[in-house]
Amino acid sequence: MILYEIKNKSEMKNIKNTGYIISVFGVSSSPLNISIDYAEEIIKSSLNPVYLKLNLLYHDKDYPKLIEVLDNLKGLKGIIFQDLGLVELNKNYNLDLIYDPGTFNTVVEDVSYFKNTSIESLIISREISLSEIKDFVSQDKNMLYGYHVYGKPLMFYSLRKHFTSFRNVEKDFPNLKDKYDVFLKEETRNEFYPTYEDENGFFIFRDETINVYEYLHIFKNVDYLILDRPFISDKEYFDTLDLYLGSIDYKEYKNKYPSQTLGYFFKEMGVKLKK
Amino acid sequence: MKRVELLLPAGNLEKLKYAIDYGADAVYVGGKILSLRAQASNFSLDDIKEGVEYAHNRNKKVYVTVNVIPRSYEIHLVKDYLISLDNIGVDGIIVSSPAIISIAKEYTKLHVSVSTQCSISSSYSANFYKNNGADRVVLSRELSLDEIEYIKNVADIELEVFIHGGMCSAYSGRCTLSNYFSLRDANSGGCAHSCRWNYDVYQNGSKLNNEFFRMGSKDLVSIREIKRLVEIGVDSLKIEGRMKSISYISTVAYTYRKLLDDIYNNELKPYEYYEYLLGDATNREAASGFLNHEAGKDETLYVSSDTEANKNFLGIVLSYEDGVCTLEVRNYFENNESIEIISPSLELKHSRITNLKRDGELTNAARHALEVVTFECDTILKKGDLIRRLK
Repeated sequence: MILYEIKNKSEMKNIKNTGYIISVFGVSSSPLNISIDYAEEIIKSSLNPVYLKLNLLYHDKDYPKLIEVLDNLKGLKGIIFQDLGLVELNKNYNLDLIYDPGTFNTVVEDVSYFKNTSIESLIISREISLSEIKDFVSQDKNMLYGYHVYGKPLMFYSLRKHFTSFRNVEKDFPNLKDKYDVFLKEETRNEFYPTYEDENGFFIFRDETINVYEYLHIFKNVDYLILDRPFISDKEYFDTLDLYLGSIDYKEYKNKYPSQTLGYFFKEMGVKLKK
Repeated sequence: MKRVELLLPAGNLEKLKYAIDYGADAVYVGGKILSLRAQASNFSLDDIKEGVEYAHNRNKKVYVTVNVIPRSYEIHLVKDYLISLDNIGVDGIIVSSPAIISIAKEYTKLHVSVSTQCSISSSYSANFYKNNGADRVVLSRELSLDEIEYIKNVADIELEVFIHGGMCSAYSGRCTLSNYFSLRDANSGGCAHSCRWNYDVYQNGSKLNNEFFRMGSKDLVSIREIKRLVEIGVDSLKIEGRMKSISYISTVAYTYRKLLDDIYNNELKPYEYYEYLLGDATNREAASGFLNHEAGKDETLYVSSDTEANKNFLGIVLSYEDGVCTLEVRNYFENNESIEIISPSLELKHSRITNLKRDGELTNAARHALEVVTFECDTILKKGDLIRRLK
């Protein structure tokens, strides 16, 4: 199933074997957040499964809002989440649980742990190589798997409101809370990293867009192919959806979007060991 | 009042012994494999065995960090390694990986603590791990004292809380800046501390900052929060710093040991006293993190990430006989300087260096790290005591 992110009802294409991801103010962090009322409307009018992105680490004070949202979103199919506390909360809801902890889920042995929980699906880490992914998905399956096949990965999530705090360092630094057109640039690199601060913290994304379409055959054993949308233009995003749905030719697409990368597929990660 | 475990880091066997001698109830160490802090001097299995014997003979505990997020090329090492740790008598392991929890539970009787890398931030999350194989959770460093108290009251699992040392700017385990910039996997111990690098902020093509924008965290110090944590009833107070020096480990252990004992004995002194004991063991700027309020400007290194070396730690006592101290030097000092003596068995004492000698000849200064000198001292010293400059 292809899961893609929507921000309004007109983006629901009701195509077979696709599902929608929504983000909701108060419980999700995303430039695509919608209100809880509009989320209800989307779910009611959708013919396809709708999943809620719960991409934060939640403190106890956040749970009343989570409960309010989940109580209201009747018909929600599942949640895509990174905080395992939600497995406990879900005992009252029985939603499909898609565990997406970012850098974690690196080895198939993780399945041994989670198969004894109510988690239905693991999203495989994007920080491992293609050969490691092959290892992961080629083993006997005891769970469903997912993978972020497209988008700009998040690479930093902090509870600290760095832009707001920096205003106490430089008095003329503007208020950048909830601004989604801001970039960080590391001093030695000519790269611009989409960055935002909202009520939930501070988030930095990769500048490059990852797209692993040409290796899609590796993912035939993977149940959820997720297309990430933050900081992608609407045009490029829906062209990409068409690509994954087989509606447009890859060569044509590649000519249009030539600078996409394969992330860590062929990069050897290491640590600097003491000599 | 319930006694809370004081848990110190140790990068090698010598540091383990100092940590225990100076007041730790338990130490945590990293083995040669499957541990973060790849640059720390990690322990061989023989070292761990010796460390466990040293600790257990003094009724102390040893935990081993097995806290990498493992990759497929190393996961096969886990089972035999954990069985070896169990056979050696290690008291517990600290883990981040669900796969490693599973293996530990299936093949060993090791106590399992879930690492702060998992950013456990609520009673719900703590209860998940309790229901799924953990004996203890190390709480996220993004929690306030009130939140910690709530979790303690609601979640039925041992709680470990970081009280001192370095902090990530991001939620632990939720940062791949190092992976991307340096191809060094932060979750495998290769963090390049990219949050402390220099950045500019752009909007609509314009640079918004004048000075560089940085995001590094100040270190955590919580002298003034310990009493509350003891009252809350947390189970373990953890110091960060497996790569830190002997003087750091000893001074921090000594300070928090005194503080805890004074709390238990209802003899708490003004907090300035313990802050003085701590001295400049922490040589980076420090604050109380999220314990009192959400970390902001005062808890972040926006302006400078430079660290100044601590030059006030003068050396370690090798022996003391007939009023003469033999000292292994760490930093420059001169004859007739006033000094402080930190000894596990003593209150902080002041003294003066007289008749400083190198190779039996009078000298006016000790100049080189690791050289051995002697001096006369009217305070009775013991091997392993620390000498620092009286400021």
